[in-house]
Amino acid sequence: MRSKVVLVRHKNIFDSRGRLKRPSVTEALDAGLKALTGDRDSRDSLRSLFDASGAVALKSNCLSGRMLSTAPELAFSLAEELHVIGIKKSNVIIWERTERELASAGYSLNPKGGDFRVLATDSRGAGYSRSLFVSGKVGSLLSRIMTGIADFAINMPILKDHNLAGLSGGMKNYYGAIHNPNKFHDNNCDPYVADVNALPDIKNKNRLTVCDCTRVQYHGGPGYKPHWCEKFGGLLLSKDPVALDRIAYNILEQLRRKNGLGSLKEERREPKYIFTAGDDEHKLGSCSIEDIDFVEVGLS
Amino acid sequence: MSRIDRREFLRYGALGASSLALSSFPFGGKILDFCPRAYALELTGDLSTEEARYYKKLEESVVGCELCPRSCKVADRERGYCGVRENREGEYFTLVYSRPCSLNVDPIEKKPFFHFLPGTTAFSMATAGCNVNCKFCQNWDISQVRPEQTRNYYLPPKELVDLAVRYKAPTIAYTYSEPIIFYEYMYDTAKLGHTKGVRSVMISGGYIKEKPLVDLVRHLDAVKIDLKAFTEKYYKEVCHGELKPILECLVTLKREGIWTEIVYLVVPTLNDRKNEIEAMCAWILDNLGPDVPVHFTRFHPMYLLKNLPSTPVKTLEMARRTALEKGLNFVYIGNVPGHEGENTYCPECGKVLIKRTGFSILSNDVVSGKCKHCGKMIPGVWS
Repeated sequence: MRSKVVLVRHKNIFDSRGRLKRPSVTEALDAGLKALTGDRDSRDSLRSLFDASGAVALKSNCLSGRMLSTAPELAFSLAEELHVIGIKKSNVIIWERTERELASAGYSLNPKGGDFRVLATDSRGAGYSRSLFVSGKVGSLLSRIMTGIADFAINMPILKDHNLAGLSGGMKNYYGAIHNPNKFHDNNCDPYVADVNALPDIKNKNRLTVCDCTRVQYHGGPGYKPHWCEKFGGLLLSKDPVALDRIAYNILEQLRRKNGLGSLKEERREPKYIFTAGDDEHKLGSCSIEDIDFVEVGLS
Repeated sequence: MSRIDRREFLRYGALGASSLALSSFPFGGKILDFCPRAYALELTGDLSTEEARYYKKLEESVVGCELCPRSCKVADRERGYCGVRENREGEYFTLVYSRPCSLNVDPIEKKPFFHFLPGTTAFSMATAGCNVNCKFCQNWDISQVRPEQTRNYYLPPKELVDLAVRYKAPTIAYTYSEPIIFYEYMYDTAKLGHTKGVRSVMISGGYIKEKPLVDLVRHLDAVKIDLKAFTEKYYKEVCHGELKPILECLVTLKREGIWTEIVYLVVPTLNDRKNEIEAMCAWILDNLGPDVPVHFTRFHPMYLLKNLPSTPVKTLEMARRTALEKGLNFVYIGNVPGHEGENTYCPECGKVLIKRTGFSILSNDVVSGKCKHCGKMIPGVWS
C-alpha cells in the first residue's frame, strides 16, 4: 500500500515582524488535511481519523525555545479543528516532557482542563508508567499521557538537524515520551528511534503527523541557531510516520545543499533509523521514495 | 514486547536496603528515621547548576565530556548518556551535585568489601544516573532515570560528612547507581571527609578516563569495581559499555596503590563459561597480583534480564574453584548467605580468618593485619 505525504507551503504565513499569522497557519493546516485524505472539508479528514469520544494527545517539540518549537498557533489551530468535529476541549491534550519546556515555547499551562489541556509528563498527576516497556533494544518507562490518558495521538514535531541523530523530525519526537532518551543516541539513534516508535502505545495510537516546518533548522541542531534556520513556511502531513521522515530527510538535505553544506551522510550523521523503521522487522511505514506519493500544495 | 512490573523492583530494592532504608523511594517523608537520632533532611525539586569538571568546549556550543570513555559530544540543551550532565549554551553542568536520591547506613560487607574495616558501617549514598545500561541492573529505578524522576535531597558535601559522623559511620560509600556520574559531588565530599576523619569508598563499574580517576583516588580509601565479564561482546550487548577501559582502570588503581576489590556477577549462559573465568583470573594474576579479592556473586532476574534463572550455586562454586586453582588468594561467593565461600581463609595455614554469613561477621581472627594462627600478613585495610 502506498503512503502519502503532503507538503503545504504558504508564502504569506509570517507577518512583517516574523511572527506566524494564525489565520494563515489554519489555512495551511486545512489545505494539508484535505490533500492528505482527499476530503473536501478538513473536518471530514479529521473525522476519518479520530473518534469524537476519545482523547487525543498532541505531542509537541519544545526543546529549543520559542523560535524553534512546535508553534502554539499551529497546535491550537489543530486543537480547534478537533473540537469542531466533536471532541471535548478537555480531551484535546497538547503535551511535552516538561512544563518548563512548554512555557519556554510560549504555551500557557492548563493541566486540569476547562479548555484545551496543556500539560507535561512532569505535571502533577501525569508522570511515567510504573511498568517498563520493552521494544527491540529499548527498555523504557512511557509517559502516562500516552499510556493512560490518550486514546489517539497526533505527532507535532518540528524539522531540524540533530548533531547525533542527523535529523529530528516525526519519529525522533517520541523520544520525548520515554524516561531515558539519553540512553539511545549512539549509532545515530539507530535502531532506537524505530524501536521507540514500535512501542504499542505509540505505534497504535499515533494516527497522524503534522510537522511544523514553518522554520527549519538545517544545521547546528537540535538547539536554535538563527544563522542556520530558514523561514520555510511549510507544514508536512502524513498518516505514515516513516514516509513523512523520509520526505523530511530530502527537504533537510536540499536546504543543506542550497546553503553550501555537506550532506548528512558525508558528515556521518545519516538518519539510518528511518530505513530501519521501514524494514521487515519494524514495518512502521514506507521508507522508499518510490512507495510514497508526495503532494505539494502552494498557498499565497 | 514484554512488560516488567516496576513495583516488583521497588520491593526488591526495599528489601535490599534492609531495615536501614532512608528512602530512595517517594515515601513523602523528610525524616531519616532509621535510628533514634532522627535527622531532618530537605527534599528539593531543583537540580544543581554546578559546572562540570573534565569537559572541553567545541564548535557551535557543543561540549565534549572527558569524564568517561564514552566521550559524549553534547549539543546545546542536550545531556550526556548519563542523563545528569547538561549543556547549557556551551557550558556543561552537573545536575546532581548535592542532590542524592538514596541514603542508607549499610554494613560495609554489603558493598561488598571483605578486606576493608570488616564489621563497620558505611553511610551509603547515590544520585540518579549511570554511564552504562546493564540489562541486569538491580537499581535501575535510580540508575537508569534522570534526576527529575527521583526525589532528591539537598545535601551539600559538608552536611553529608556531618551525617556520616552523626551516625557513627567511619566511611562514606558512593554506591547504588554509578558514582562516576556524580564525580564532582563525590570528589568534594571525599576530600572534605578526610579532614574530619571520615573515609570514602567508591563502588563503581570503573568506566572512567584515567585523568579524573587519578585525581579522584587521592581522596578515596578503597574502590570496588564491577568487572562484569571478560569479553567485549558482553560489555557491548549486555551493558552498553566496553571492557578495555575497565581493565585499564583496574591497572591504574593498582598503580596508584588504592585498596581494590572486584565483583563478578555470574549470569547464567552469558558470562559463566569456565574458559572465560580462567582467562579473567589469569589477567588479574598477571596485572593485579594474587591478593586482590574477587567476589563471584549470584545473579537474580532483574530489569531487562527477567528471562534467565538465578545463578546455580554450583556455577559459583566452579568459578571460585577456578580462581583458586589459578592462584588467586581471596575468592568469595556472594549473595548465597551461609555459604563457606563467604569466609576469608588464610592463604598460608588455610584456617578460617573471618567467618561471615550474609552481611554479618561471626568471628574475625585478623589481628593487626595478620593471621592470628600463623602470623601471615593479610592484605587489606583493617584499622
